[in-house]
Amino acid sequence: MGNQFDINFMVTIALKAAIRYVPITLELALIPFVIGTILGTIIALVRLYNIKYISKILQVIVVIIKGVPVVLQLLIVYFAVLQCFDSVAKTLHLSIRAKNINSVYIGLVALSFFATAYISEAIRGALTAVKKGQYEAGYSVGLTKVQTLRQIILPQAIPVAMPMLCSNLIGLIKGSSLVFMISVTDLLNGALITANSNYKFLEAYVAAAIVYWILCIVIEKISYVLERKFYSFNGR
Amino acid sequence: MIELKGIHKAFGKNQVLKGVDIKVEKGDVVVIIGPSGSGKTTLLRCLNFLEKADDGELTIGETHVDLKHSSKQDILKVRRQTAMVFQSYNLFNNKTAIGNVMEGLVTGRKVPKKEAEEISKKVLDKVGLSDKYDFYPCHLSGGQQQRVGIARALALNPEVILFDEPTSALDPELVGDVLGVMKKVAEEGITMIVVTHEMSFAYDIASKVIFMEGGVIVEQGTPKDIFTNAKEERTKKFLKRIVPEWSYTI
Repeated sequence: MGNQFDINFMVTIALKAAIRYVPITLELALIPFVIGTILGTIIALVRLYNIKYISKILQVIVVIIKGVPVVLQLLIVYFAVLQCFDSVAKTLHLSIRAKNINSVYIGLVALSFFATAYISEAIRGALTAVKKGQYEAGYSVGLTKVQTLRQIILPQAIPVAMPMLCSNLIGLIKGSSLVFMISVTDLLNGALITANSNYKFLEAYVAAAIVYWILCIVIEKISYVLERKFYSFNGR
Repeated sequence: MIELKGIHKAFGKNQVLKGVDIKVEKGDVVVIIGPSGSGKTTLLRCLNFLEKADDGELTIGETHVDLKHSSKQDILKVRRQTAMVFQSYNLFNNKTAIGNVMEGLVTGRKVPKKEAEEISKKVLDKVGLSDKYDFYPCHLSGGQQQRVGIARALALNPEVILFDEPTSALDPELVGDVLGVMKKVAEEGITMIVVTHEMSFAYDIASKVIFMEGGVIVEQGTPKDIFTNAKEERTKKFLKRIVPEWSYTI
């Protein structure tokens, strides 16, 4: 009977372990999401207003990040830190060394790059979805650029960006599972550890999948509610 | 008083305005007519810096600006003395009718909210929308939206209101509503510069009609001069093609 799916093990042990590590996964998804939203908005605005040179440079960076798999970004950041951090720290006379850095931080940095690139595109898309006439109307009644952006453009762009932001967050939650490559114990790794002694990997994977799925459903629901709320002016 | 001198504007190689001079006295209603592509709309948009003119001077009230070397402050100063009514209304989609009218007052000019609300209600009443204060643009008809657009401009009490083909996007039945409101505005002595294809409106309301073609002013004068007594061959030809539509109704 050893080959059969052990539901009991899955529910009582693997699932429990996975749930225990939900906070780590959420941390790995939400912090890059917040950083990505802030930096992504700035990048989107720089590119929208086509600010000389900076706009071009950012565009290149975004294209590079978008063109590299997350797993590679993670590994590149990881090994870059391992190999180069010590010499940098030495020249700066810092006492901290690469081996003392928690891998979670490396994961956070790599995932933040990923989030920033994608979210900047989502927000740029939403900003360009607002018609030029809205900007012009703002200027025509004597608003400055910043006032127009704050009062007129962003309130219209945010609801447009919501579905994209939501799918970015879901992508981050799922993408964060790759931190097992740099041996961070997250939701997936937590579940897998329980299977190490008895080789019930299928049960562990399914348990992790269930938890991921529930997380994503919850986020989708929240996003939907927020979208409705922001869209109140649109009569939909 | 508003004065434009030597306005030049090109989009790439396409020279749209080739030196335009206009003088508008306080209370004037200046109507600019002309075929499509003659630069009427661009001229209007240069006046409030929605387009940046390549060359020229602008005097509006006390403000004098060299359009080529204008600073951010200049631009804002000019914009706060003008207001515009757009062809496609361009109401703020995220604001109600009254929110649209209040925006320029509260955010732009820092008028206290209470006062701004009072002003806004007054102008919305004036354009016949006293029952639509809290409606979002998506719940208003084209004619109603454009009347909110006019109210938004009126509330700012500007030196001049610029109308950029305000009735072109409306279906014929609603054109009358908007023109009626514009007539009312004109009668109050508010300075207006109107780009339009509504010739009967121009004839009735304008204190001065300007005929533009190919980026220059071909002819200007009182409506009577232009419509019944045009001197330039080109003006006559243009009017002949358009005027029969309305001449018999007057």
